[in-house]
Amino acid sequence: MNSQKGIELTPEQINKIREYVQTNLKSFYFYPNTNLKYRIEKDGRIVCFSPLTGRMSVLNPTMAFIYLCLKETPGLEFYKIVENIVENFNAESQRIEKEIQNAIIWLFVNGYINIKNNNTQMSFIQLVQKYLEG
Amino acid sequence: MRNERNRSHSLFSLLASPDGVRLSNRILSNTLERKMVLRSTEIRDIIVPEFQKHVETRKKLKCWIDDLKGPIFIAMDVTYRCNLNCPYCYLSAGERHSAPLLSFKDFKYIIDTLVGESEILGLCLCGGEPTLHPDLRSMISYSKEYDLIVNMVTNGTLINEKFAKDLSSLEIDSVQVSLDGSTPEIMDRLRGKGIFKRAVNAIKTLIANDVTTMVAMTLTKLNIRDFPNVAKLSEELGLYSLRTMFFIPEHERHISLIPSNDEYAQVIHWIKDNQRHYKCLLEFGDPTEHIVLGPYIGHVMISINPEGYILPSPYMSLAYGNILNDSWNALWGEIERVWSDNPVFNTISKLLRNEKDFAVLSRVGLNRNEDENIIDVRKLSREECIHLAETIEEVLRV
Repeated sequence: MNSQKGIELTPEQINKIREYVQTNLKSFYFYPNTNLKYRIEKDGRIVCFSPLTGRMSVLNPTMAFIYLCLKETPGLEFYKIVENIVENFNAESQRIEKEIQNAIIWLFVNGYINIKNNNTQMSFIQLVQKYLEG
Repeated sequence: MRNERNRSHSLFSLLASPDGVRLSNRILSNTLERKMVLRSTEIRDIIVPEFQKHVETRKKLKCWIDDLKGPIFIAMDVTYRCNLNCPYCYLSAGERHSAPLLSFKDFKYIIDTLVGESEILGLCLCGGEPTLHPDLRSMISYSKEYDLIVNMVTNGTLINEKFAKDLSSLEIDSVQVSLDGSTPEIMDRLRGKGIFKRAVNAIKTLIANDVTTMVAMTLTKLNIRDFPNVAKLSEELGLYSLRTMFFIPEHERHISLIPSNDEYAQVIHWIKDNQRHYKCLLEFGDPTEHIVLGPYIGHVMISINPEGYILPSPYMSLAYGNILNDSWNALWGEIERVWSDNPVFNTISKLLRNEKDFAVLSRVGLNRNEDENIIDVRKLSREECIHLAETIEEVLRV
């Protein structure tokens, strides 16, 4: 296996990718990265190695909950994830929606979860590569 | 951005903050603009408060690495025997022909305990030279039964086609080979005649067998200017990464091998300027970082020697307990806070000035080539700990 030379993106390209993900987030289906090696701590945190950097990483209990929800039921949509979190953490749906959106984007960009759109499942890196291929 | 399929899980990475950025490197990168080279120990006044802020933020977000079930990764020294006799080896492994081997029975006990009670995620098989261990394959296989990440560090001289095939079929996650020069003239001068060729052959064989391979280069005065050539060679060979760090003198006779700060600066700047042109990941580490930041990080990684002693730092013969003799549950609660709570470790954390102080510590018998005299700090009384801490303080303040 060889590593891959870094991909350089211009700020414009980054903005376009961000815009695409944010605009379409609610129509995606989400899947866990099943290659993640992790353990669950007593308080619900996940300790793992970042799929993107290989470095040690910690997911807080909410992030960990999202990942584990997707492990249990791959292919959930955004609102189903929100619903699960509202139920589990006894939170207000409207108040946390934006935070969950950010959390899901973070998990996607950092390689913990993949998206499925138009029957194609892809990681963030694959999305970027696809974008660069035009 | 790098290919997610090829993640390696490295010892080098373990002190990274949870967002994947080594804090000291982040601070270091600012100082680099001023053409300075600083170690964690030399910027203690900056790095510690910065790190404390970082920890507080992470705690608020509930994503800090405290109160863990156990370490995340372990470095297992399966033997201190080695078939080479490198003059700068911090373990003097080449002279320790009768050093103990970790038995397979003890290895299994350690893995069973650490997986069962702490759910560790991975281990690195280190040494000495781990390929000298007759049960190495069984150790990898046993770890893989638990689905652990398994890495190995080797000089590569004993890796032939069959060995590489075995490692590949055992699904080892990565192998790190030592490469101290880009030509036989440079490397063989340090490691012995014919070693360059054997190491390069090992690398080629491993890569041909689809084993993720990286190299580590020990920088000394004799080879530091060759770093860019080693990077180029690493790229040509298709290596995953090239790692190096400040040279660790374990004995005062090693001091003359230490590169100058200017020479280190050239390497660090070269990495900074050239990384973007390389597929091979170029990494420069600071071996004192885990000591300076120890009181704030706790233990995410532990080293275990062939006799079962737990070494909070791989560069000192100071142990804290023995996993083969002591209850792991009781041990873990203490080890997690050993850099902050124990006067011996805390004194070293506060006073270590740079990596050269590992040689200074040899004056009180704390260097790794005297493992026969390993000090198990856990067995010392409070008074004995304070006395040892005072002795350490005395030599480090000189």
